[in-house]
Amino acid sequence: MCGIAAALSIAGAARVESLRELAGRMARAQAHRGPDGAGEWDDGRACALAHRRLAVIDLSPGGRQPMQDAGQRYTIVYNGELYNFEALRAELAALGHRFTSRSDTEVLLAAWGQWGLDCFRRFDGMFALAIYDRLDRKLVLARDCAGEKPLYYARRNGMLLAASELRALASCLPGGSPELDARGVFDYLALRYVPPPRTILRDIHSLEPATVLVVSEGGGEERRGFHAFDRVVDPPATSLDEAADALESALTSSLERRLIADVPVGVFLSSGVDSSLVCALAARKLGRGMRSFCAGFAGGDEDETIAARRIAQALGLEHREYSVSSADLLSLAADFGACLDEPNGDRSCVPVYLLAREMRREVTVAISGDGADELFCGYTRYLGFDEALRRAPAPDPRDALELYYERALPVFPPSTLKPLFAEECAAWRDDFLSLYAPVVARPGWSGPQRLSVLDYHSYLPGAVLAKVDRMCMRHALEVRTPYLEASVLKLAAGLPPDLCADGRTLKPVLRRLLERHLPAGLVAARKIGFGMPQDFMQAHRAQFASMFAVACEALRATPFFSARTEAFERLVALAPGNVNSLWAFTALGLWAQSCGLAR
Amino acid sequence: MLSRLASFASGSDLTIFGKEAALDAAPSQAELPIMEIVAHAAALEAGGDALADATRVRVAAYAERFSAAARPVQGINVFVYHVDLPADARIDYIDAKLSPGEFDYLDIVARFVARVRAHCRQAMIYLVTSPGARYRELAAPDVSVVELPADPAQPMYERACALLAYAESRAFSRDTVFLDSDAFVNRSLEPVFSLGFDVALTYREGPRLMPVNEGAMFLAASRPEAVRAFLRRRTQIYDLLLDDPFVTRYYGDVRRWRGGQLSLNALAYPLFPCSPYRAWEAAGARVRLLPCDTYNFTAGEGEAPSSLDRLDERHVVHFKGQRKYALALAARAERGAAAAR
Repeated sequence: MCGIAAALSIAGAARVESLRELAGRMARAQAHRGPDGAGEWDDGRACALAHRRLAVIDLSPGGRQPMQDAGQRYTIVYNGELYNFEALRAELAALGHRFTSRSDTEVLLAAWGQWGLDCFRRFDGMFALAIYDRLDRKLVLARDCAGEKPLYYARRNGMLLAASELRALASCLPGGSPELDARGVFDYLALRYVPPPRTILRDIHSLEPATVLVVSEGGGEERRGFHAFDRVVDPPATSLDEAADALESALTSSLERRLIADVPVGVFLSSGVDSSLVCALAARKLGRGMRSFCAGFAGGDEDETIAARRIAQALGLEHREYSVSSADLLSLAADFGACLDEPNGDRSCVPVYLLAREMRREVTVAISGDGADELFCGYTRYLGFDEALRRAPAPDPRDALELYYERALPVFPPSTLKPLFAEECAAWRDDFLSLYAPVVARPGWSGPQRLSVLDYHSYLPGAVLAKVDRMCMRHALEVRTPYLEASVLKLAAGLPPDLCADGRTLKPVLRRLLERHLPAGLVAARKIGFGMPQDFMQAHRAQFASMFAVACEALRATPFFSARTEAFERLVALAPGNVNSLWAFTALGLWAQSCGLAR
Repeated sequence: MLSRLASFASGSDLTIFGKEAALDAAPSQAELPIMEIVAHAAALEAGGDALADATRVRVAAYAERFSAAARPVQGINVFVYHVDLPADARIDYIDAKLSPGEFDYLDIVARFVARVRAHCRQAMIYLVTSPGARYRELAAPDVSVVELPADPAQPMYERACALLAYAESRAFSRDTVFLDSDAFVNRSLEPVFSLGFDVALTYREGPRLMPVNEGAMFLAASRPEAVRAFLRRRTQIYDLLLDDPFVTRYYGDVRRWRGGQLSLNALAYPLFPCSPYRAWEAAGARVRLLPCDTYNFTAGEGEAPSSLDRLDERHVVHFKGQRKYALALAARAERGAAAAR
């Protein structure tokens, strides 16, 4: 787990000294992602790579990056983990490759040399990488299947620049950081995140998950995909117990591979089904007694801590709790914006950030239950969709999705944004809603199945995984997600509708499996999550009002909103309408302030 | 099931062969993994973007016919190409075999027209066929029969040329659905064009299947030059296949069959693995890949399970290969009912 940076000269437009300096600066701006080492490399001509290392497997210098293959054709910087690297190493060794370290980076490099683009289909892992090919004079950027690891890129002054974090890239762009992007702002206000390939900043792109981008020194770009998640239409019949059996096998196997590390490993434990199941399988099936960690809220009525404590006791886990306090909020107000790499309106960013800080004192790697809600249909907001479609059948499938964002997932409802951002709203409908419209048309899918596919491709990478990566990597805590593994994905994709949501019971397969390992009373009846509860926000309304005021002033002073005063004042009036819009707008303002966008 | 259906409809014992069978009874050569063939075709490089002379002349001549046949229309256009294969022109490739003479194609095309009328109001059908063919009897205000001087023994090549010619003619003024004559419209297709593309192709999965099926294509009229560029490139690849030693050694002459689908897959190859939730570019066009299970449904194809439940939710139902016996069965039943009345 690390931070990476790359700079490529296009058509000889940039000198290698500039490339070297930029790559180094971007890497240093990401030093928090990799406190265990730093490395830089350039080819003396057209490409420079830089790396910050968080050592997790093979702590020796053998895993140092940038790393070159034996023939010195390929040089790599890589952020992530390959969980099947030992099997791949054996396969590659049988093909004649020789290895000098225990590092998965060396295996990845050999896999690229052996299989080229096809290598990515063989990987079980999370990664974002840059490989420079000295022979073909091209830079390869790639990002893992679900989008666990981030990768941003931009072209400026005859260069292609890439980095793990948006701020690092933006702050190093020649000519200064770009302005807010109107479409990015609209997406953020409507969704609370900006889906790839856009970002909140103009001209900076986020590489889409499961994508390889090859950029030649001549400037040409080739884009390829290597994975495509979708649910099965007409899945074969299966029983709840059969599905639970299959999930137990797949998830345990995935988890076992994700527990391999040369550093201490812990686990996020809420009282929810997803993380409880991960803990249960680790403890009961694999005999691993990990430390578990949970966050709660001082003064709030609704949090996870009590139930999580009981689950940990039942499983014999060494459990830690962290209570988010007023003091935390006060301290965060000053620099939370800087912790957000890209604006993220998810209310659980704060507790995850604080909990990760505490966890990092004891562990370097943490297992999480992320991805289960999108794969196994865990969000309660999915439940009304079938009924909404029945009541208002829409000939244009985009209308159905717009209704979902309007009613079920409210940040700033699109109808309120339309008068303020007419052009952006129309474009959002034409590309974002059009892109996912096929989920509405698939025969036989239930509402939860339709929306979960939409969320897997958009909300999961854009909000959930971005939050996990940034909030945790701020403290150099590596998070691993056992649900996001190929065989678990395949199993989830093949579930019939009633095993995704049975009436109002969500994730019935996970519940059935968890019931085998925990007393029934400990299997959560409903989801709470780590998000800041409304009553906590109400109890600390003075602090939140203060943060909101700071955020408003920062946004008002940006050139973007200075030129849109009417829209801005309307947003300020609308934001307190619900906790999601209030927090999303606050997070955007704090982020803008920390980036120096306010002038 | 298909075998039983075929036997029942035809009144004689029939055996399923080709892709529908697990393996051919006595293959004359080893069958290659289908993706190996597609990858090879995708790697073929042309020296420029011009079509082969014969193709270029053919397309230009056909485009004039389409322009002459163009009619003003309020709805979408539907393009369907059908010629009767000569009696001695069996389709006998290593992975595709068919005896078209077993089916009553006039009845099939008439049913095709009726399905378009039922679901796509105000649509204009361009029924492309050979001069003097019996299909001209289907001409109507909403059916423009375009007779092309095409070689009936090489239908797939001629069809690819005809589609490009159509796109380059005045007839391509509306969003257009290209369909096999046995791919029946089952829902209104206009909403498909809201998905944001220049060209949408349909895909399926199966170890012996090319991912993209040629039987249903959606061509948006909002950026006609992009569609033309895509189809021109596809036709150019077809030309390359005709002279490629690997392809001709494996398949023989792909003008009759396989070439249309292979050229389309070669063009779409950089977009694999197929996902309906990506929109990328190929040959200058914005391309979407849409799942056959929803937009071009064939029951029992490939390895994926399929159900005849919720048939009304499939946009197009494709009676590929031996499935056309179901249509023969329907025709027999209707004749019986009519006689009884």
